[in-house]
Amino acid sequence: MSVRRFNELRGEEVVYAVDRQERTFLPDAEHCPLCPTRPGGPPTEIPVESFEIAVFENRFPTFEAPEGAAEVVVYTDDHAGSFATLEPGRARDLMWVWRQRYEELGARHDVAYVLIFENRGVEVGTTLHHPHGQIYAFPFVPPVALGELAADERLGGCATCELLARELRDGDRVLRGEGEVVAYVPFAARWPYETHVVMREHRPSLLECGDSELDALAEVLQAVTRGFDRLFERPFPYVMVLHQAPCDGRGAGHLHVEFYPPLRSATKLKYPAGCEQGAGTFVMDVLPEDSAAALRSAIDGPS
Amino acid sequence: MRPLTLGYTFIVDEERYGPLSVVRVVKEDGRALILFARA
Repeated sequence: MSVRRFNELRGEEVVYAVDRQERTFLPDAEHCPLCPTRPGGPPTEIPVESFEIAVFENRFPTFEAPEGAAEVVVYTDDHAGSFATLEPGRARDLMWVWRQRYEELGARHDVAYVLIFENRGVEVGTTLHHPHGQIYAFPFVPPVALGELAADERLGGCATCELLARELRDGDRVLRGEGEVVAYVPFAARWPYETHVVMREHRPSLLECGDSELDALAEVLQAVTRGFDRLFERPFPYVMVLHQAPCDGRGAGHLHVEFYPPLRSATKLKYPAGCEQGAGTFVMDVLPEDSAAALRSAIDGPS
Repeated sequence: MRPLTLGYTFIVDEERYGPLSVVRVVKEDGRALILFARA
């Protein structure tokens, strides 16, 4: 069971989940716990010979009932590939899986916020290469979500709607400007190739999205991640996070997906170091307009 | 409940969600597993 302590100087919760020290670390493909259990093979987390999408309670949870939950979302039974290379129908189905988990977990009395995310690449701490993401059902609303609620208040309405409108007016950083889902490098990006994928209409969460919006979200997310991989012609590490309304009745929020890729070139990482960690101020080596131009070419390039 | 392919793993529920079928399973150690597939 994890333990929470409140860090007074930062004004935020810290979670101690010490059992996670023992979690499986970069196993070879033969011993992947996210592959299906095959006859004669070692047991895995998913005791069937094949599957499409599987979700299970994390064996090494950061949160667990009665104070939240931690789940693993396995995108495919194919050990190779990534979110970007999923068959498009599978990516569309994944949007429904995310929606179902947000709805079910968010309805629990011990859950205040549902965080759906993927860490891709050892550069951002991935411990398993099999294509998968995670869900943390928080028993509290975490600081980033609170910051977005504060931004709503500061801007006198939905901050994401306002920022989307500004990006579309400006246009310099827009990667995908047509359709029901828009992608752009934000004006004040904190990572060299930070990218936001935003529902054009105000949708607090996946629950308010129509079928075509969910399809469009899958399509744009795959277009962006394929573009990432083409940018430096290498598997592109990223953290991908869905931002949705808290589940504790506050009701605010605007569904969007934020990517935090750590690469600043094909071989160099951006480290959150002294200024970022000690002062909370990000210093960037590249202007968002320039990274948007490079990303746009990569996304629009040959598939 | 009916057994899945291995040991003491049981299917406890089957339902639909949007275009997906949802099969809920309890694993041998008591943890939940949900299998989603295009219906």
